[in-house]
Amino acid sequence: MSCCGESPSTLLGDRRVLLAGQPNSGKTSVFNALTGSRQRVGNWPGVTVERKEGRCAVGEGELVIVDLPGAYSLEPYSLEERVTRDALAAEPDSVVINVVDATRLDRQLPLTLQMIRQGNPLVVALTMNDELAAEGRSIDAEALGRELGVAVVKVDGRRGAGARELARAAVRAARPRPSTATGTAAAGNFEERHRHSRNLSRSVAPAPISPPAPQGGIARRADALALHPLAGPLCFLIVVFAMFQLTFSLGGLAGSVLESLMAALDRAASAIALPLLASFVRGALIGGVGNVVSLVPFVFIMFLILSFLEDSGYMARAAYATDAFMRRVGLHGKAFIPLVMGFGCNVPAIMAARTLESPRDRLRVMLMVPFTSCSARLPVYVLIAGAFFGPRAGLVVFALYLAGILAGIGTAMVSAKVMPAQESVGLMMELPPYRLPLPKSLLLTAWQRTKEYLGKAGSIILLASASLWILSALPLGASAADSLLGRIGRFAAPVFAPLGFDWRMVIGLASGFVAKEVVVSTLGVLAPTGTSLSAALPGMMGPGAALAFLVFILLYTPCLATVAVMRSESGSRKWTTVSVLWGLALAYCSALVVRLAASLFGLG
Amino acid sequence: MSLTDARSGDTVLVERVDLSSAAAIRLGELGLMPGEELRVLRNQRPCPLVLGLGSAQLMLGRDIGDSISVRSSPLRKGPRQRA
Repeated sequence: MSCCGESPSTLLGDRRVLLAGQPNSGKTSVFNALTGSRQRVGNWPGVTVERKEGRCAVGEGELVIVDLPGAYSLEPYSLEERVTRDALAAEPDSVVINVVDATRLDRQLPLTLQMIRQGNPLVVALTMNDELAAEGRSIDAEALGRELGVAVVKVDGRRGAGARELARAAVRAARPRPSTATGTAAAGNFEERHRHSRNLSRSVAPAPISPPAPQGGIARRADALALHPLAGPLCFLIVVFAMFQLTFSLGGLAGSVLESLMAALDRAASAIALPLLASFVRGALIGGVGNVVSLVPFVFIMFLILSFLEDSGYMARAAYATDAFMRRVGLHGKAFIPLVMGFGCNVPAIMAARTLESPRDRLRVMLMVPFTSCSARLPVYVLIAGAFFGPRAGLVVFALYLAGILAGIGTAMVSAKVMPAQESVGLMMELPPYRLPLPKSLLLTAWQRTKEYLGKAGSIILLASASLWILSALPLGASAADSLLGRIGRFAAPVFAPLGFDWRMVIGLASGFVAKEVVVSTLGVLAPTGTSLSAALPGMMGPGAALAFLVFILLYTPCLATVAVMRSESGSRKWTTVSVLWGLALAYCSALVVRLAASLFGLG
Repeated sequence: MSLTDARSGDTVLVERVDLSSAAAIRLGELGLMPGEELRVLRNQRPCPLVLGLGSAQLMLGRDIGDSISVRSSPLRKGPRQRA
């Protein structure tokens, strides 16, 4: 990432250009058209709003294009809009390329007027001209430029036409020139801006702007279904189900390839001559990092599908369809999507909470997500429920999923009471027109988000699995029970005695903090040798304790990756700690209740 | 009447927005303000409202719709716009 202002521009000039526009204006395709794949993604300092930068060659110099988050206005309402406003204010001399959707000119110009008033040199990039042409209309770009006092360039983000011209216009705009934006700059408050925008739109586009962009018959029929009070939610469920199926069938395919690769690496590592080193490589490196890596296909495909839903315009319809239900727990429609994703993997689910505008809603959803039972918990359920409840194991697992949902709803209710109510005002969002996303930009977005996941989750998991390994390996040559880890387990065991857990189960839970799949292998190591694990389990705990153990697994911290992502997404150490403690407390109390109830029914 | 009382297909004029200033400013920034004409595209319980505002469509939660007073637009009225 180019360091802000600290590297002096070269003679040819590495100029910074800020790309701004409303959501769904085609900003991303303009960014991709300008920069190709020469992009870097990170976060804006202090907030979890995505920050993208890319380079664009123009003449003999280069422009650094900074993609600002979508904003309807510089009067900030969402986190994204605050970031955009601050970025403009922080770089008053940087050129702004304002992406404007030509089909909705009257709605887009208020932001343009506001930015011109802000004072940055500005160029308008007019997108979606082909859609406008399909309606038999076109915009007189020159006239619009004259009225606004800035250059207006038509760009086709999909084909890249006009990108070069746009970059050149940005360079020209950067040269000091007498300001010509006079008449327009007077437009102060939103009433004036909107009135002025409407008049401008009428004068530069021949046909009346006012009828709503009536898309073709397909879009209308799609909306008749997607926005129907009954069919809408049904459609949403079908879409979610399809998303699951795709994620798990495709991700499972790629995941199993990666898993066998890990198994091969594991075998290779067992040949390492130094036993201690071999154990470290197998236990800490392959065991810990392998888990993260084999989740990558799931995460990537999930992000791919989500980007598609976002860019196509369906996400807004999903928010519409689920709004009535979500209002019962004091959230609105948009919050449903991360929760559904949580059943796959909590990590991308927490990241998906980004799509919510209000920080309070984001946080509340992030606190709910860990209770949606992710796929990593399933192997533990299968093993233990299978060992203890035989034919009724399926019922037990189903009950666990339900219990997780109830815990999530309960968390939403508690958090609504506890968190200071903000200026929260339900659903208020634009219903964007349907558009077919470009495969290239979907792949690019999904890959960037996946890389981010790998970076964040990977480093923390590696650290944690290495520490766990060290605890289990010291003192050298000790048995599992006598290792530091074993001693810690036996030390903590009395706390868990009321639940019926012995020290081995406690260590299992501790290792499950890294990732839930690890619980199975930890129990495998600690169980008496000679029989299979499922045969050995009834010797380690009674059925009541097993049930309590399952409930504990369901409710406490899903994995370290979740904690790491929650920390970075919420930007709050405090709330991350609250989430972990709340999960633990809920897990302990629920497990205790289950254990007591089970003993009433005569289960040990 | 409040916006939630309007029927799908009506064209109405916004009279008053009884919301906290932050929310009202937000609506204004989105183009919804007193004096503005709205087309009520969808109003079906318990779903949010879908409104036509110039060339854009806006989704509003019903609770927000309750706080917006409107009257029938003198210009056009009735089940227009089944587009």
